[in-house]
Amino acid sequence: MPCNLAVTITKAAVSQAQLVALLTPEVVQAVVEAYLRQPGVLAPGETAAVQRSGPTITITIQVGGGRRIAMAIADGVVQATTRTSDQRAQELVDALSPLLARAADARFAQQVQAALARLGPVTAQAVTVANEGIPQQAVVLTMRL
Amino acid sequence: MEIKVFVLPGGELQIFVDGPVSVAQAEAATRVVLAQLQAAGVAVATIGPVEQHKDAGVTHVHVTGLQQHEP
Repeated sequence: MPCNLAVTITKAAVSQAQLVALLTPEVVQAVVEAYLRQPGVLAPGETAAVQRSGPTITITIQVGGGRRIAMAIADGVVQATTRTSDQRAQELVDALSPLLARAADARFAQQVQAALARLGPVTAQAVTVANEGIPQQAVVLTMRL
Repeated sequence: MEIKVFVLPGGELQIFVDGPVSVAQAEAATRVVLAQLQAAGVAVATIGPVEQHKDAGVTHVHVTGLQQHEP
Protein backbone atom coordinates (compact mmCIF):
# COMPACT_ATOMS: atom_id res chain seq x y z
CA MET A 1 0.00 0.00 0.00
CA PRO A 2 1.22 3.51 -0.53
CA CYS A 3 2.56 4.54 2.83
CA ASN A 4 0.53 7.74 2.90
CA LEU A 5 -2.58 5.66 3.39
CA ALA A 6 -1.38 3.71 6.42
CA VAL A 7 -3.31 4.54 9.58
CA THR A 8 -0.84 2.95 11.95
CA ILE A 9 2.58 1.39 11.73
CA THR A 10 3.96 -0.92 14.40
CA LYS A 11 7.44 -2.36 14.53
CA ALA A 12 8.22 -5.65 16.18
CA ALA A 13 10.91 -8.28 16.20
CA VAL A 14 11.97 -11.64 17.50
CA SER A 15 15.29 -12.11 19.21
CA GLN A 16 18.36 -13.26 17.33
CA ALA A 17 18.29 -16.48 19.35
CA GLN A 18 14.73 -17.16 18.24
CA LEU A 19 15.69 -16.52 14.65
CA VAL A 20 18.70 -18.82 14.84
CA ALA A 21 16.53 -21.51 16.41
CA LEU A 22 14.72 -21.73 13.08
CA LEU A 23 17.94 -23.03 11.57
CA THR A 24 17.46 -26.62 12.59
CA PRO A 25 20.19 -29.09 11.64
CA GLU A 26 17.90 -30.39 8.88
CA VAL A 27 17.51 -26.90 7.43
CA VAL A 28 21.22 -26.17 7.66
CA GLN A 29 22.12 -29.46 6.05
CA ALA A 30 19.72 -28.81 3.17
CA VAL A 31 21.15 -25.31 2.63
CA VAL A 32 24.73 -26.58 2.67
CA GLU A 33 24.07 -29.50 0.36
CA ALA A 34 22.17 -27.32 -2.11
CA TYR A 35 25.04 -24.85 -2.12
CA LEU A 36 27.68 -27.51 -2.65
CA ARG A 37 25.68 -28.97 -5.54
CA GLN A 38 25.81 -25.72 -7.47
CA PRO A 39 28.12 -25.84 -10.48
CA GLY A 40 31.45 -24.25 -9.81
CA VAL A 41 31.29 -24.30 -6.03
CA LEU A 42 33.55 -27.31 -5.80
CA ALA A 43 36.62 -27.20 -7.97
CA PRO A 44 37.39 -30.14 -10.24
CA GLY A 45 38.74 -32.97 -8.10
CA GLU A 46 37.25 -31.65 -4.87
CA THR A 47 34.80 -33.82 -2.96
CA ALA A 48 32.61 -32.83 -0.05
CA ALA A 49 30.98 -34.70 2.79
CA VAL A 50 28.26 -33.18 4.94
CA GLN A 51 27.41 -34.84 8.21
CA ARG A 52 25.02 -34.10 11.02
CA SER A 53 26.04 -34.75 14.58
CA GLY A 54 23.38 -33.57 17.01
CA PRO A 55 22.92 -29.84 16.51
CA THR A 56 26.16 -29.48 14.55
CA ILE A 57 26.69 -29.85 10.83
CA THR A 58 30.20 -30.66 9.73
CA ILE A 59 31.53 -30.20 6.23
CA THR A 60 34.69 -31.86 5.07
CA ILE A 61 36.14 -31.09 1.68
CA GLN A 62 39.01 -32.99 0.16
CA VAL A 63 40.78 -30.40 -1.91
CA GLY A 64 43.42 -32.61 -3.43
CA GLY A 65 46.99 -33.37 -2.58
CA GLY A 66 45.82 -35.15 0.53
CA ARG A 67 44.71 -31.81 1.94
CA ARG A 68 41.31 -31.28 3.44
CA ILE A 69 39.41 -28.42 4.96
CA ALA A 70 36.72 -28.74 7.55
CA MET A 71 33.96 -26.50 8.79
CA ALA A 72 31.33 -26.73 11.45
CA ILE A 73 27.97 -25.00 11.68
CA ALA A 74 26.23 -24.65 15.00
CA ASP A 75 23.74 -22.06 16.23
CA GLY A 76 23.76 -20.52 12.77
CA VAL A 77 27.47 -19.77 12.90
CA VAL A 78 29.86 -21.19 10.31
CA GLN A 79 33.42 -21.76 11.43
CA ALA A 80 36.43 -23.25 9.75
CA THR A 81 37.78 -25.98 11.98
CA THR A 82 40.88 -26.69 9.97
CA ARG A 83 43.80 -25.80 12.16
CA THR A 84 45.78 -23.78 9.72
CA SER A 85 44.40 -20.65 8.17
CA ASP A 86 42.99 -21.61 4.83
CA GLN A 87 41.75 -19.16 2.23
CA ARG A 88 39.55 -21.78 0.59
CA ALA A 89 37.85 -22.53 3.87
CA GLN A 90 37.31 -18.84 4.48
CA GLU A 91 35.73 -18.48 1.04
CA LEU A 92 33.25 -21.19 1.92
CA VAL A 93 32.54 -19.68 5.32
CA ASP A 94 31.92 -16.31 3.67
CA ALA A 95 29.58 -17.89 1.13
CA LEU A 96 27.60 -20.01 3.58
CA SER A 97 27.03 -17.40 6.27
CA PRO A 98 24.70 -15.16 4.23
CA LEU A 99 22.92 -18.21 2.83
CA LEU A 100 22.10 -19.35 6.34
CA ALA A 101 20.92 -15.88 7.29
CA ARG A 102 18.61 -15.84 4.29
CA ALA A 103 17.36 -19.32 5.16
CA ALA A 104 16.50 -18.13 8.67
CA ASP A 105 14.68 -15.11 7.23
CA ALA A 106 12.71 -17.35 4.86
CA ARG A 107 11.78 -19.72 7.66
CA PHE A 108 10.69 -16.77 9.80
CA ALA A 109 8.47 -15.44 7.01
CA GLN A 110 6.90 -18.88 6.63
CA GLN A 111 6.31 -19.06 10.38
CA VAL A 112 4.66 -15.63 10.45
CA GLN A 113 2.52 -16.45 7.43
CA ALA A 114 1.35 -19.73 8.96
CA ALA A 115 0.46 -17.96 12.19
CA LEU A 116 -1.51 -15.21 10.45
CA ALA A 117 -3.30 -17.70 8.21
CA ARG A 118 -5.24 -18.80 11.27
CA LEU A 119 -6.96 -15.41 11.18
CA GLY A 120 -7.94 -15.67 7.51
CA PRO A 121 -6.55 -15.75 3.99
CA VAL A 122 -3.04 -14.34 3.68
CA THR A 123 -1.21 -13.58 0.46
CA ALA A 124 2.56 -13.40 0.37
CA GLN A 125 4.77 -11.55 -2.04
CA ALA A 126 8.51 -11.04 -2.18
CA VAL A 127 9.35 -7.36 -2.42
CA THR A 128 12.30 -5.05 -2.29
CA VAL A 129 11.95 -2.30 0.29
CA ALA A 130 13.93 0.71 1.33
CA ASN A 131 14.37 0.52 5.10
CA GLU A 132 15.83 3.80 6.29
CA GLY A 133 17.26 4.14 2.83
CA ILE A 134 18.82 0.69 2.75
CA PRO A 135 17.47 -1.72 0.12
CA GLN A 136 16.34 -4.99 1.64
CA GLN A 137 14.62 -8.11 0.43
CA ALA A 138 11.40 -8.65 2.33
CA VAL A 139 8.15 -10.56 2.25
CA VAL A 140 4.89 -8.70 2.56
CA LEU A 141 1.93 -10.61 3.95
CA THR A 142 -1.44 -9.08 3.17
CA MET A 143 -4.70 -9.89 4.92
CA ARG A 144 -8.00 -8.36 5.89
CA LEU A 145 -9.64 -8.27 9.28
CA MET B 1 -9.36 -3.04 7.00
CA GLU B 2 -6.23 -4.17 5.22
CA ILE B 3 -3.19 -5.31 7.13
CA LYS B 4 0.22 -5.64 5.59
CA VAL B 5 2.98 -7.29 7.58
CA PHE B 6 6.42 -6.67 6.18
CA VAL B 7 8.79 -9.45 7.21
CA LEU B 8 12.27 -7.96 7.09
CA PRO B 9 15.70 -9.52 7.41
CA GLY B 10 16.88 -10.31 10.91
CA GLY B 11 13.50 -11.21 12.38
CA GLU B 12 11.94 -7.77 12.13
CA LEU B 13 8.35 -6.96 11.28
CA GLN B 14 6.54 -3.78 10.35
CA ILE B 15 2.76 -3.98 10.60
CA PHE B 16 0.78 -1.51 8.52
CA VAL B 17 -2.95 -1.11 9.08
CA ASP B 18 -4.97 0.74 6.48
CA GLY B 19 -8.60 1.38 5.69
CA PRO B 20 -11.54 3.49 6.74
CA VAL B 21 -10.84 2.93 10.40
CA SER B 22 -9.90 4.98 13.41
CA VAL B 23 -6.48 4.87 14.98
CA ALA B 24 -8.00 3.03 17.92
CA GLN B 25 -9.42 0.38 15.61
CA ALA B 26 -6.09 0.08 13.83
CA GLU B 27 -4.33 -0.31 17.16
CA ALA B 28 -6.81 -3.00 18.16
CA ALA B 29 -6.19 -4.86 14.89
CA THR B 30 -2.47 -4.64 15.47
CA ARG B 31 -2.91 -6.14 18.91
CA VAL B 32 -4.89 -9.01 17.37
CA VAL B 33 -2.06 -9.66 14.92
CA LEU B 34 0.57 -9.59 17.63
CA ALA B 35 -1.47 -11.81 19.93
CA GLN B 36 -2.00 -14.31 17.13
CA LEU B 37 1.71 -14.44 16.40
CA GLN B 38 2.52 -14.99 20.06
CA ALA B 39 -0.18 -17.65 20.42
CA ALA B 40 1.35 -19.47 17.47
CA GLY B 41 4.76 -19.49 19.12
CA VAL B 42 6.28 -16.55 17.27
CA ALA B 43 7.77 -14.77 20.26
CA VAL B 44 7.57 -11.32 18.76
CA ALA B 45 7.95 -8.19 20.85
CA THR B 46 7.03 -4.70 19.80
CA ILE B 47 9.74 -2.15 19.23
CA GLY B 48 8.26 1.09 20.47
CA PRO B 49 4.63 2.14 20.36
CA VAL B 50 1.98 1.82 17.71
CA GLU B 51 2.71 4.89 15.59
CA GLN B 52 0.27 7.04 13.73
CA HIS B 53 1.61 7.36 10.27
CA LYS B 54 0.85 11.05 10.10
CA ASP B 55 3.05 11.73 13.10
CA ALA B 56 6.30 13.44 12.34
CA GLY B 57 9.40 11.34 12.48
CA VAL B 58 7.78 7.98 11.80
CA THR B 59 10.20 5.90 9.80
CA HIS B 60 9.18 2.75 8.01
CA VAL B 61 9.86 0.67 4.96
CA HIS B 62 8.86 1.75 1.48
CA VAL B 63 8.36 -0.84 -1.23
CA THR B 64 10.71 -0.13 -4.09
CA GLY B 65 10.19 -3.24 -6.17
CA LEU B 66 7.94 -6.23 -6.50
CA GLN B 67 9.68 -9.47 -7.36
CA GLN B 68 8.44 -11.95 -9.90
CA HIS B 69 8.29 -14.98 -7.67
CA GLU B 70 6.22 -15.73 -4.66
CA PRO B 71 8.36 -16.41 -1.58
